[in-house]
Amino acid sequence: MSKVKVTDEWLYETMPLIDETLIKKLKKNVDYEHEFSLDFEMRMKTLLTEKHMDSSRKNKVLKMNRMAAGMAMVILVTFVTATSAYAYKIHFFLTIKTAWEDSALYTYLFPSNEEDDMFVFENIKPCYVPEGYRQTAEKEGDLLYSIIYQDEAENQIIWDQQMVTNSLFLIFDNEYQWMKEIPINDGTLEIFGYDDGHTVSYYESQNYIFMITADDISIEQIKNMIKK
Amino acid sequence: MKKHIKNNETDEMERLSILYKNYRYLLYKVSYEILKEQFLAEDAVHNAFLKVSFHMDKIDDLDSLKTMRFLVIITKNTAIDMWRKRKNWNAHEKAIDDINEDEKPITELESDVDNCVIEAFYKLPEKYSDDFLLKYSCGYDNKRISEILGITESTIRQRLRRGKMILKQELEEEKKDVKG
Repeated sequence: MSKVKVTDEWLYETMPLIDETLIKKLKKNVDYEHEFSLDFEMRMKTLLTEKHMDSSRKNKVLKMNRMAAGMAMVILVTFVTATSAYAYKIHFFLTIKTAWEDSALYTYLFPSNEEDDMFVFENIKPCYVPEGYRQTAEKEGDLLYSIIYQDEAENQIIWDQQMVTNSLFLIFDNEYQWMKEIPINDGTLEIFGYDDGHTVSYYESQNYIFMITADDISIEQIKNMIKK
Repeated sequence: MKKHIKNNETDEMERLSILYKNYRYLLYKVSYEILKEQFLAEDAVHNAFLKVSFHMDKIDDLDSLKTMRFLVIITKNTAIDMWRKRKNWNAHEKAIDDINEDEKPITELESDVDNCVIEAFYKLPEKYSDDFLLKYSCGYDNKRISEILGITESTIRQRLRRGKMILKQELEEEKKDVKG
């Protein structure tokens, strides 16, 4: 039997056709007579007629986030004991980790509402990069700074520096094969290893989260990237 | 300049209204299948449109397959998040995995794709299939997908890689079955 190849080219060609089939199926049996509740209609009307959509909505979400953060602080103790989530303080923010079966939700909160506004994002590059790797891409966002390094065998190392803001949440894959915790500087470096050999490392420092995703890297090399 | 910004906002609102008008019933169906309760399903649709309003820059053609897929995935994930918050996730994980876009079998539908391929894709866990659809059907890059799903870029990358491996295995199995 000829080997099946699942390449990007094949996927770009095939997936739209599969998608079309799925959507066609989904569109069957849609109830176009459904009567939405008055409350829903009103809320949608407000949403769709709001003036200066972007700014007002962003402000609203920001306010809601702050309220949520305040409320979360109040219920934090109950939350920690009632669920599998746990929290601890690292420098300027709190991290609440909630474990699901196949993923983990990390929510970040600032004890005081002002603290997340105090910082200005400053790009941090690793001073150490494993031998044979060279930088192939660099992305700069408002809250995220990423660098991609690649070696001759096309193994990649992705360096992500994420600034933490109030109520930021991130979802991580939880299906790793092994996990190591290593104390470094003032925090703990967590390394997650997967069956195909790649690793994801996670480290919190000051107002940032650092993540290193690598195809083929040793623990010592990860430690050096973080330490330096 | 101010006028230009205002025009853009009006344009975005109009486009959002059209999306709502065209897809509200479809998206309600998507969220109702997960939440099984009218008011909750409506909440999910409302929250989904709120999220969509932040991503209007990712929508070009309002009638395209890409737009439909984008809306369906946003709504589905919003509904699943609400469902997770209300229920014990672990106990119902299986049930969520079983939720699909309609009852099986899918291969009875007319399609230009080989049945083996559709069957194999159908066996992919939903988290992988969403990433695949956003990447290879909608054409979003990993960064965009991570913004849409609220998941880190490295997780997207892992899922795509692992999804390809699973899809390859499933395709080989499907082909074996056909030959057998």
